[in-house]
Amino acid sequence: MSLPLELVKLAMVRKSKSSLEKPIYRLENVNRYYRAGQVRALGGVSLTISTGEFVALVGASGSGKSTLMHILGLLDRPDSGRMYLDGKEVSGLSEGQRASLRRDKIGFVFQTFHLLPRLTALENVELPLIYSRITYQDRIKKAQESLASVNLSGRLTHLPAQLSGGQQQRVAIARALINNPSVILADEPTGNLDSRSGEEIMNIFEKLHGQGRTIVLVTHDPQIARFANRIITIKDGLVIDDKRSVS
Amino acid sequence: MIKEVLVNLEIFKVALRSLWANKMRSFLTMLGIIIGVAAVITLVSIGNGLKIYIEEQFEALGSNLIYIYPGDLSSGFGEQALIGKAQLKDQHRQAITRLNLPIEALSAVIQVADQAKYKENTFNSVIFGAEASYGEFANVELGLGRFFTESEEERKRRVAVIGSRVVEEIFPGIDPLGKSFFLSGASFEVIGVLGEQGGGGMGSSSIDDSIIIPLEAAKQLFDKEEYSTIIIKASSEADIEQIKETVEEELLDYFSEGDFSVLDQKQILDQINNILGVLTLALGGIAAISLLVGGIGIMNIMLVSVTERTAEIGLRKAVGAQNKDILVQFVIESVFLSVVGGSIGVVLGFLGSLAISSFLTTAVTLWSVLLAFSISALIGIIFGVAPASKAARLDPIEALRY
Repeated sequence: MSLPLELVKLAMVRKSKSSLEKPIYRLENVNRYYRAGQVRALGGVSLTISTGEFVALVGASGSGKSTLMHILGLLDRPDSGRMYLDGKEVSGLSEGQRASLRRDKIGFVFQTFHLLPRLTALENVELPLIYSRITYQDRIKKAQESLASVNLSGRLTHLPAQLSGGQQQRVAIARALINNPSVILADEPTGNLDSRSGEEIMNIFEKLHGQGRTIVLVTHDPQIARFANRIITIKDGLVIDDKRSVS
Repeated sequence: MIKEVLVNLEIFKVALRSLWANKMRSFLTMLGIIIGVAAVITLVSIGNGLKIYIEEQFEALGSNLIYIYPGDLSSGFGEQALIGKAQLKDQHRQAITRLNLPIEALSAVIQVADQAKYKENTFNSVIFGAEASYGEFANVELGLGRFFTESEEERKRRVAVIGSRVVEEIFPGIDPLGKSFFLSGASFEVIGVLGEQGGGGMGSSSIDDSIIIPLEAAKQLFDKEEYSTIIIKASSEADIEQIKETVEEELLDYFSEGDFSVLDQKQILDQINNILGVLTLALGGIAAISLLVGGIGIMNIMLVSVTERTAEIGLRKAVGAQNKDILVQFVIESVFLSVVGGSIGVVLGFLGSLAISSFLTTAVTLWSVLLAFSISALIGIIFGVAPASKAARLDPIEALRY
């Protein structure tokens, strides 16, 4: 069991080296204020995240890491500063344009899974494709493949309530992957799981990273952050620490 | 373009699923629209049925008829109009016959409400004192026997032609021909029975309820000189205008303008139709209020639904749904509720009108169906847009916190 993991890590290192020059995200002095400028959630964040990186955003609650996550996920907009996604300026995009970019380039994984309770696992996974104008047959095929990649081929017609927490989060990951996104944004993905399920989920993220996917993980748990190869610490709306692990 | 249709089809399926998941709630919401549409269709069908019934009654009287009434009926059958100022009497009838008009037949009529009595059986009937010619042009078909003759009329013979309901009520199971019954203490012999006409609900009298006796006998019995009306049958439709004008001119020698009315069937029908049109509109309007209430019910439930599904909306937006997609999803839900409710309402409206038709004449009209249905669809859109745009405008970050 330890040998394949070593191989995966080797592959991971090679991948991240070869694509280090191509940034997924570039943020230049990004600011975000709340309550008409009285509260500064982000105070001039500048950072670059490259293709294939596995980044953990850590910080206490209220540090601004969630705000940064929302801005990275195009759910929110900076009040000032610039953000580039895949080399394209996105800080000035309209709501509709951001929705399209979210659909095509970003896969979300949430702490509370956010599966629709009345849809089966398969239907939950194909949900983003409905908005990509993809035909039914293609959707089903892709959703099946995606669920297979998180080892849930046997649970296609189960409703979320019939699945364990870990399985639900795997469905959510399959959903995040379905549009082959440029980046996966995971917000405390293990926060609602027991430690065994949490580890299972982190193994999947490691595997995805090994396949060359870019992952940004928000967590306050150092044990979880350990899985990443770069840890960015946020405090009071500023990046106070940014270090890459030497694995 | 095809892709747009495809995605909207998907959103349509999404909308239907959430309605199906809340079957009871969806049904109760629809109920408001169902009742509204059914009420509009049923009530309008009653109004129209009344109109058709009255038209039929007039047709039964025969065509090319001109009526001379005391009182001013030109502005409708108001209370004022029915108080006759002129007293139409025999001299006026004579004056009209002297005009030598293209008239096929003419009859003065005295109309009195009276009780007919045979042994212990009584019936409150409408008595028409008419001339022998009335039998020719009033388009009353005889079921049995014969109409009275001119000589019988002149001799003030106490004979009667009675309606089918009169037979049922005072001669149950008895052959009425040749039998005598009493009107105001005088004995009348039945010489004819009118064929059954049907209709006549809602307290209105029909031919079936009436008794026709010779005019002269009626004058004597009720001690009455004034005619209720003089009916003229024109030789042809083309003569109607000329006859009306000439009669009016002649009568102006006796009465002043506004004391009497000369109307043809079409005018009378038009006036009745005017009144019934207003009645129908009023009925439909009252029913339409319940449609509006139904619409508010839809809006209410859609607002609840949007609040309940905030997390779902947030997630859909996070995975790429445009505001427009969310809007469409919720509008489809409300339109579906109102359109399906409207369709069920149309069916129920038909059934309701069918049920009522057993004791009232009803007629479902296409315009009321189309109107009720399109109003309900419109309500779905109007009352669905506000909750749907609330959903579409939700901030995904806020929505995902639910």
